[in-house]
Amino acid sequence: MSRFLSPLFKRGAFLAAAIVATSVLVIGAPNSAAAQEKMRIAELGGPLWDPFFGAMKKGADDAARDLNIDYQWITSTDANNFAADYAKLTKQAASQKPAAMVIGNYFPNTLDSIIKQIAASGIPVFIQHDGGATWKQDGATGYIGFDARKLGRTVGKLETDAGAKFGLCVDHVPGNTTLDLDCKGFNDAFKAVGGDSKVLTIPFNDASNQTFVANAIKGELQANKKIDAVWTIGAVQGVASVVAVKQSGRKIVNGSLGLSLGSLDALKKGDLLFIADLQPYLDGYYGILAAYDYAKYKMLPIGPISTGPLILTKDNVDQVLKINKEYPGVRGAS
Amino acid sequence: MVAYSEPVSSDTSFDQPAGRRSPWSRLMRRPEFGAFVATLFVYAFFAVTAYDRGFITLDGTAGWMNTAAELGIVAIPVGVLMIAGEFDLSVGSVVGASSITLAIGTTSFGLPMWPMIAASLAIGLAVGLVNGLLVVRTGLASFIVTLATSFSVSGLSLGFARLLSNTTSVSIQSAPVTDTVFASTWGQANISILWWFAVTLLAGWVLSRTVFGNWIFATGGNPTAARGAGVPTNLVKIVLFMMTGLGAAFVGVIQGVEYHTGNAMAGIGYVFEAPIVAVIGGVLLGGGYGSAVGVFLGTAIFGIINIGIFYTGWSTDWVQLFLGVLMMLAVLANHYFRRLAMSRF
Repeated sequence: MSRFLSPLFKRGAFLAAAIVATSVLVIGAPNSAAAQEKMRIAELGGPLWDPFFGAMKKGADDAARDLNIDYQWITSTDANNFAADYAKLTKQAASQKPAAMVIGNYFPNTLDSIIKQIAASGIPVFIQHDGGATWKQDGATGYIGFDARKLGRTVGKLETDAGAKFGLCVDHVPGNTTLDLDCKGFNDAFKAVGGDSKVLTIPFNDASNQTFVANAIKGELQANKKIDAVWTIGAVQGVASVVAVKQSGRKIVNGSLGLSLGSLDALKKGDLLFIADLQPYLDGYYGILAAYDYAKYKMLPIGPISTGPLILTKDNVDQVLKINKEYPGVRGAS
Repeated sequence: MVAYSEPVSSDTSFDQPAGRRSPWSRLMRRPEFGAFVATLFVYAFFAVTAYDRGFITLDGTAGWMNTAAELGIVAIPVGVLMIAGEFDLSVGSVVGASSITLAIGTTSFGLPMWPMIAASLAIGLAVGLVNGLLVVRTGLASFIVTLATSFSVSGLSLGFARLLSNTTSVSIQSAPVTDTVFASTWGQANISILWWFAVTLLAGWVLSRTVFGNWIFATGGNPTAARGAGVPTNLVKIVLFMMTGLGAAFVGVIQGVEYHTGNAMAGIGYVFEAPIVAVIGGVLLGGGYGSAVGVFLGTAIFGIINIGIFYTGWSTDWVQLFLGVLMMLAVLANHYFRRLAMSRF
């Protein structure tokens, strides 16, 4: 019996030690006693496997450090059930009655009603990055982010100005309303010059598989000879689109969104015409800052704070590359 | 893989009814036959619907093969492991862990390329070893054990990536020799296609021509009887878990070198795609039956359907429905031919 139990026990003890060690590592800091007196702000943010949100968290981290507040980046780690998990986490965070909440509204259908309830309960809510269409209806106090449809129009115009007539909007998060709006705005721009555009959806599962994305875009370019412009809405997909356009052998205006060293390099070489930078660091920083100022002084900016897009081209790519080397992670991937 | 060409002689095959079958009939009873028919079917489908859009050109072929190849290098070891009766859901996380390790080592710390590639592959072997030991020591279902390691490995990759480099996606500088080995291209075809063939041949050889191959089938078919006959089933499983880890880490290196980026979350799609293509390729979910060529064909089917759909120019909103229906057809074809293979006549 004991021979049977002891290895199990050892394993159990090891496991327990590992769990304790991990949880101390993860939640130890914000739970310390000194933190109790600090202002507490809850931040609901995007998944950290995406370097885009890594940069946003960096901004929020820096703001929290500068303002000396107690804050935690709350997010789910499970891609398969993200929206539902995120909604539950939002409710949970509100139940702890923080001084203010900063919420990225990535799933308006699910989150709008929850945000309404939270705002009605007296917790000031600042909507961050996504959810610009509904923040006022939801009763949020402020919005920090960008206008998705306007973003699509802006980048679409860059491509039509370069002579394109038929655009391909590569949507790698099918079902996400913001990317839908991005592509709609993109379509507006092409319609405005008498052209048109279509949406290419990449299954979510394969969105980070660059070989898959490259060959999907290549296939679409083969099938549709009218396409003379491509826009990808992520850096990973942007690098893949450069491969696809090269392999198609056609002259195609290609633009992207979000930064990685690979996509910046493509920009420098002229393989990408532009990269729309939504400056997620600013979303993170200003989100916390606005929530703090309101919770403490009841002061707030009049109207939404617009943080993007900043358009990067061949002309300003060098300074971005320099910053990226000096402060890795601040602008996205390094 | 079933032994290839048994000589058929009407005199000596008196007590072997199978031996009297016509070559055609024996072909139909091979585990990969269903997948073979399905491959022809889906290829013909896209060749007809997208022939004027470049699907059957050299570049179009390179397109679906590049995609299938990387999945295949992950999926073939997974298929072999499934023949031995176990599952590995940690492969996706290993792809990410290996690529981000390579990126951080070479870019953030300036370490030389080859030792870092060795380290990345070693991570795959180590995760496999942990999986194998946990499964044979605890006797828990590998489905759960490897799911747990999958989360743990992803968490470690993300945590360390952020700790060491402040981000989860780091660039990888190119180097001539490693580029040749992992990212050469002929026209638009990647060298990964050759690796895909190599892995298939190696796995096929092990399964059909070696004692270890017999052990694999025995371990998956009837573990109790296998142990009774002296097959070291635990060793078999541990080695195969290490091979799935190695295959996944290898793809992490290929993708890292190919696109000059390491991403801690790369490979996430492989978690279920690998076992799916193994099943499409004729591997029995319960173990004990299947072939390397079958899994190879399974990955080819997956590549043809997934990339072929983009060549049709149809609205890609319907891709998954289409994928589901074709997959169901492929699995049904398999099921039919397997029943035929298992039948005595």
